[in-house]
Amino acid sequence: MRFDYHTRYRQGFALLRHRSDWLSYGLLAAALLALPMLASTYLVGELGYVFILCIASMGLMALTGFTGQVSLGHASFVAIGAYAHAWLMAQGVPFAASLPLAALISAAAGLVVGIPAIRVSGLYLAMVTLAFAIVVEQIIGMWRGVTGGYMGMMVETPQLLGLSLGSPRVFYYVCLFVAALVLLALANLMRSGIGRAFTGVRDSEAAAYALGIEVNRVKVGAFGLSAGITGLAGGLMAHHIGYLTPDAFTLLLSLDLVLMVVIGGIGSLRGAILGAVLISLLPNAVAALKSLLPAAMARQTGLEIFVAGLVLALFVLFEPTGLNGRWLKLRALIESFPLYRRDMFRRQKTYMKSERNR
Amino acid sequence: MTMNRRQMLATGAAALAMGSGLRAARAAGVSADAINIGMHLDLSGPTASSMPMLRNATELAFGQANAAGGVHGRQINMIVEDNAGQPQQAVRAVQKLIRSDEVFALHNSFGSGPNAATMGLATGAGVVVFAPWAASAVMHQVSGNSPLLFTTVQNYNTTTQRALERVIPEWGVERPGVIYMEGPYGDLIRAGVNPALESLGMSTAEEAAYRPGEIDFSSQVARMRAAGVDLIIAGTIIRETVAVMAEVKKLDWDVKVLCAIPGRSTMVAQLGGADTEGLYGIGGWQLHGAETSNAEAQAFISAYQEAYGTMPDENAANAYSYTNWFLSALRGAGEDLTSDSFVAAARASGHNDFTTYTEQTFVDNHAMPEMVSIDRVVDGTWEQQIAPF
Repeated sequence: MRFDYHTRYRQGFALLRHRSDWLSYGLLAAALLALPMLASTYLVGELGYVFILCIASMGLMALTGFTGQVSLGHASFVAIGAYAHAWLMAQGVPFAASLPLAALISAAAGLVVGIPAIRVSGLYLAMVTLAFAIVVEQIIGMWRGVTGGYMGMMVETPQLLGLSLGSPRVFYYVCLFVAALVLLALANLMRSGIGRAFTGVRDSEAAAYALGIEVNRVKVGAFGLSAGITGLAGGLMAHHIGYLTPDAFTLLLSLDLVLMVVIGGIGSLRGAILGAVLISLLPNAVAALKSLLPAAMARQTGLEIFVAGLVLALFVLFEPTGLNGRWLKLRALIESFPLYRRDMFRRQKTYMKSERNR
Repeated sequence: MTMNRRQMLATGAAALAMGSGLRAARAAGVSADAINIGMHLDLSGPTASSMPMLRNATELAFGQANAAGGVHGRQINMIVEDNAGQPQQAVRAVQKLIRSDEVFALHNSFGSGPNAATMGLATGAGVVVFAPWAASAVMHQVSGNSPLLFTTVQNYNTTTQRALERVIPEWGVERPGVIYMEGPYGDLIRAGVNPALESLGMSTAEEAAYRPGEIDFSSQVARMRAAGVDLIIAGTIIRETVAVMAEVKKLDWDVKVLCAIPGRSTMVAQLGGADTEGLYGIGGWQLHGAETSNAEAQAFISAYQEAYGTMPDENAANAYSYTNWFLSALRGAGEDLTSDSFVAAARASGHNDFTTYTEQTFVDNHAMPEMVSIDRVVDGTWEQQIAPF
């Protein structure tokens, strides 16, 4: 058991509150930094991709988890980021400038989609975003001059200060750096006034409005922020794929992103990361599983979809708070070991339906 | 072994850095008694249901070669990965195949997007890419005309053009109309239709697009009819071809319908039943049913049925045929198998079996000549109307 004794107000919302947190996150950072020296090129490449998905997942979390707005069309922001980045690089814009610019372009598109979000919410917002994704896919296919149409476009090898970022190990560090930057930015944002406004809008629009929060602005702003971060992931994704075609950014990717956020645990950045790691490594797990199954089952196609669906169903049934919720329970169990109460996490009576999201 | 692998990777990386011209002959995935061959298929995406045919037929051909003692004493070790029909997953699959399994070649991999995304990765690492199931011209363009890429799938644009330039004057067509899919496939079909009509001094009387997944073609066919079209060129695949024909039959309209290579499938004739009677199709390879008289085809069908318990379709036959071509190139490369010796052997190889119309060779690394036939559905099976030309 641990009891906090705060002597300053700011200690209450420090990012890392305890010395043990500093130690464990420091060890994690050191391990991630040292990994490319030790692991195989294949593993390093895989982890680079996992980081890209983590960024995209955090982008969607900023929208769905923090302000409670659903989006079934986030693949389109990945696409906009990817194509914008690839096009800018083809025009001779250096990597370091092109990536943030692509994020800004994606954020601008997010603002446009965010405007209807003022008027619609819930299922209707999901439909608007879905429609947007279909429109974007069409535009990419038609706008041959910029996107290369359905035939696709080549992505140039990234360069930074004359150094090629093409090798898997170097690209791993680029992805890790951007992912860490996004994580820090979002974690800080969530303890600032804007973050509180996000949570306020999510939990009760009326209450937030009464407290002087500009609900409409916050909603549209969240869309822009989320789209910008997702676009950043798109820019990196462009380098992962190397040759962009519209079929990289279909509804399947949008649904994968939603799965990551839901399975990870709505409303937490840790959840976004855990969800992205789980969903992106699921195909590897299924491949490993296949070698253990009898040949007749292992040869079935579509096993991956079945397993993904099963995992989602199990989480919704048994762990609605996602991987993050499970982690918090596990940690509480370890920290309070002999004194753990079974009902510690039993849901208390809630008075507002929005409190479900907490 | 580990040291050896490291060295090989290091030399590969160094050679890449120095420029492709100086790349050392690399023979990853080739050991004294085995050759690793990679294959990535859409095992969990939109076309997953047709993948077992490709995988089984490829496995069958490799299995037969292995049973006969392998290729110069080396057993073929086939590794299948899932690309989910998505480029980003395909990149992961190919990264695994190259970096972890260290394959010598990628063979019979499926999907235009997945193949386009992984082409540079594979050829850049010195891995041979043989018979990708994707738009061949685009693949060569993406790979920067790499000598390591060998394509066998007919180009839909050139074959469509060739067929139209023959049948339009022969049938006396004056007002051709096109139904095409929005997307890469439709782009290819129109890239064949437009130059063909241009060379004949004509233009399309009507064009109608459909979106992938659409099942109702009443508006497209109605537009064709309103424009007084006398030949519908159907840039459609399986289900869409059947739907177009069903609509034509419903209107009781006597018009010629000609579908491109993907529509000339046994499945179209089977699914359509009475609706597809009289449909014309551009054929790119020989079709064989259970009652075929070709001995080679009979041997393939019975071997497939014995191994997998189902009747192989034309995709299986093509996958089997491409794999045998690949095997003959591997044999031709001799004991000392490297990517260089393979490329030389493949370029010198020829291929002719129960699926091809004539002896094919690689011209600029693409299987040529691309002969086409004009077939017609009569009593539920495709019958050749115009012999391959």
